[in-house]
Parts: sequence; structure tokens; C-alpha cells
Amino acid sequence: MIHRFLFFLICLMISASSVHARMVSYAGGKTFMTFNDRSSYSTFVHYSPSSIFSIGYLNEYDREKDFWLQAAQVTGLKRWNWEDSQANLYLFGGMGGAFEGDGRGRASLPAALGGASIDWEDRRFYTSMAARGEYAKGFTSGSTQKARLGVAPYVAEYGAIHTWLMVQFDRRPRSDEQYSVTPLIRFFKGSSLLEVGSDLEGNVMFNFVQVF
Amino acid sequence: MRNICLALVIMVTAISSVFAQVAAPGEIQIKVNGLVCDFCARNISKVFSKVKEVSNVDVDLSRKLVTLALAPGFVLEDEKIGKLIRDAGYQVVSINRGGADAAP
Repeated sequence: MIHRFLFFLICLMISASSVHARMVSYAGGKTFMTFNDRSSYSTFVHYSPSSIFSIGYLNEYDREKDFWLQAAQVTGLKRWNWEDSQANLYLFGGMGGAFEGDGRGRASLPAALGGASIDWEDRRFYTSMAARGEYAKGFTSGSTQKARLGVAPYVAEYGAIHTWLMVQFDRRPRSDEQYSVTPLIRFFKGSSLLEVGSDLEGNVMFNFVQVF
Repeated sequence: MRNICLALVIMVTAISSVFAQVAAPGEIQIKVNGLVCDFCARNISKVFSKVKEVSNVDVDLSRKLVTLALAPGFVLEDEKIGKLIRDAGYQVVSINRGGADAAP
């Protein structure tokens, strides 16, 4: 198990962009996600025709640059299931448009995004890394990266409330503050997941995922 | 002394068999790889809840087991079980059936 963990750590170091986990569900599953932090607010809904890919719609507002990014997105999943751990590799791409914040100004069509996310977890430890690139002429061009480390203070059984203590590291090259660190707590019970945190400057993070 | 040791061995064996992981009649126990996250493992319940052959699903993260209770009069073939577990995003290691259709 240790060599598998090290393999994925190395993969994580190679590249990444910020993306969201759980972008593919069970065959026939529908998922609603909302993510909120100091740089953006977004909702993402997706449907998984199979357990290895999903199609979804992203609606994201960039707080710093005051524009909306809306895109249809396809995500593929490669999963490794071992006896005591699991790893996931998500690859995604999307296309849509970017619109000025007030909805009456500039628009850029098409806008495109793409990236990858990889994670490894067992019942006690979690690690992930992600990278996303995006382009919309006149609005955005570049990539962002994110990494997480997490530990479960207790190992809960099926059906109980699960708690994880995590820390997220963000790199946003186009932001005034390129780097941020956000300690957060993840709770989940049943098919609902909630994350609450705050970066070191006091900016709140709030994320919610519901699988149907 | 030898008789005491023999009695202890018999007693331990008997107790162990009581707690052995055996499927009850009408139940199917599936050993699954990747069962480390309750949130993701919920997918298994969702997939099997849509199957008329299954009346109840139980997931044990510690023992890596999914236990299905079959609805009266229904059977569920291994091939279909494997497909449903894959639809949930996992993979089957082994299937153990309780009752008359237990695996040899």
C-alpha cells in the first residue's frame, strides 16, 4: 500500500489544476455541487450515464474579475480500487462562454476549460491535487492549482457522520494573492457532503455536494 | 492437561464459527475492493435499491462487505451482481451465498 501511495504522490507533484472531486457518480446518478471561496462562487450539476464519465453544467462567478463562466463539461474517471484504499484520476474538458458580471456588458464566446484531478484515500488519510486551465478572450487565460491533505480524527462506520480535518493549498497566478492556505472541516452523512473553512486572511470557504 | 487443552481448542473453534463471516439463508455477501469512503459507498445502496430482486442492502466498511437480502422468490446471478457493483464504481472480489444456493 505504501508504494501505491508514493506513486500517487509523485503524480500529484507533476501537474494539477483546481477542480472538484466527485465529478463522476454511479451509473444513473445525478449530483449537485456548490463551491464558494474567496475567489469564486460556482454551482455544478452533472449526470453520470456510467460510473466512468459524467456530463454536466458549470456556472461560475469570478469575484476578483467580476465575470461569469458558464460551460458544459464532460468528465472521465479512472479509478483504482484496492482492499484498503482507493485512488481516482479525473480528466475533464468544457466549453461555453464568459459574461461580464452585470450581464449587460462584454461576452466572450467560446470559452474553454480543462484539467485533471487525482486523489488517494483510505479510511484515515486523504490527499488530492488538481489543476485547471481556462481561456475566454478578454476575461481569463491561465491555470490554477490546488492540493489537499486530510486526516479523519475518528474512523466512522457506514451510516454515521464522517468528519475529516483538511488543509487546502491554492495557487492562483492571476490573483493579487497568488497563494492561499485554507484549513477546513469536511462532514458527510449519507449522500450529503459539507465543507466549511477559512483561509488565513479570514475568507470563508463553504462547499456542499448532494448526490441523488 | 491434554484434555483441558483439547477442550479449549474445541471451545475456541465453536465460538469462532459462530462469529464467522457466513451469509445467512437468502443473503448474498459480496467482498468489494475500494470500500473506504461512506459517501462514495452510498452509490452501492443507490444502485441496488433500484433492483427488484434486492429487498435490503447493508455495507460494512470495516469488513469490506456488501450484504444483500433477496426479496422472496427472486434470485440474483453473479454476473448481474458484478455489473451492479461496477455501476457503483467498485469491483467484486468474491461472492458468498447463504442457504440452498451457497457457493461450494
